[in-house]
Amino acid sequence: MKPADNIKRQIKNLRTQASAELDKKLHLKFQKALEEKQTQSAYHQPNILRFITSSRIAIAAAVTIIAAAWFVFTYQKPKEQIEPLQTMQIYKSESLSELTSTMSLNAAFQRGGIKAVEEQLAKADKKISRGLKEQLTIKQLLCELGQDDKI
Amino acid sequence: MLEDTLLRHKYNRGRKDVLPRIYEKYKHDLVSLAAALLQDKSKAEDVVHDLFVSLLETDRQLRINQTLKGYLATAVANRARTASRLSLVRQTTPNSYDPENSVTADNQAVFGEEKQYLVSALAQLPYEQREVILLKIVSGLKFKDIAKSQDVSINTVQGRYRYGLEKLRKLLDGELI
Repeated sequence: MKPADNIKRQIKNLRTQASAELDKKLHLKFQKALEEKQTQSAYHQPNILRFITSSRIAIAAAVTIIAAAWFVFTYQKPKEQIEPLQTMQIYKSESLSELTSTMSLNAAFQRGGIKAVEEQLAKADKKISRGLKEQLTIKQLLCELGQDDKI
Repeated sequence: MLEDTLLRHKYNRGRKDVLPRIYEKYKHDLVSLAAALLQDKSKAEDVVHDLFVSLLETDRQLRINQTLKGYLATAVANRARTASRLSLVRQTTPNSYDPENSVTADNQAVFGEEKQYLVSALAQLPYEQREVILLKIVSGLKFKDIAKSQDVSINTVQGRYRYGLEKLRKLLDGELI
């Protein structure tokens, strides 16, 4: 064996033991630190953000849940949300009877309070007065009644 | 090796409860390394104690990128270097520091009577050479990692290793069985 190899072997075997005193001191510190950590964990509420960012699986699960919730709220609207839209369509219609119906007036009230109801009624009033101004001729009246052939 | 990877992974994720296991696994290696570097067992134990206390108390996340054993050995060597410098500063004698004189009979007995020639020879090496030799042979670190920890080039580390071994060989000529 070369002298250098012999020296390396001797250095490798240069060993000593950690004393029992060091063991005791460090194990006490480890124990104390772990007890403190457990006490702190009991006091603090679990932080959801810390949990989510703790691992990639948790991040993936959070993203999936958010995407699923978004999909449900966007594409599957409940019927209760559709009905008011129909009410709004009635309100928007220009028909005189629809403008003054209970449902449309109610929708107007919900939309803008008494002011909206007044506006809607003014619109209906305008429509009635416009109808009165357009005087019908007798011929037009008979046409509507189906007596046109008799003239 | 697999256990080391697991321990390192858990520690990196903030699990301080793995420290007792790490200590139990490497305590003798680390104390031996520090004792060989400092030539003083009580100082060596202080270094190891301080290292584990700092690992336990630190709030910032330590990212251990190299092997666990390599990381601990490097940390012990860094702390031992600081302790060695401090002891150099504290020496009030006007003469230059002579490591041979600092090795007491008690400290030589740390590694056993049969190793006293080797311990004495190691003590005569410059600290940097001793550190490189011990980190390379005892802890199995690569020259690249030693160079990084000492903030010098690989060539310097290799030179220290070669010159150190050569000097040891001359000192121990005929002493080792």
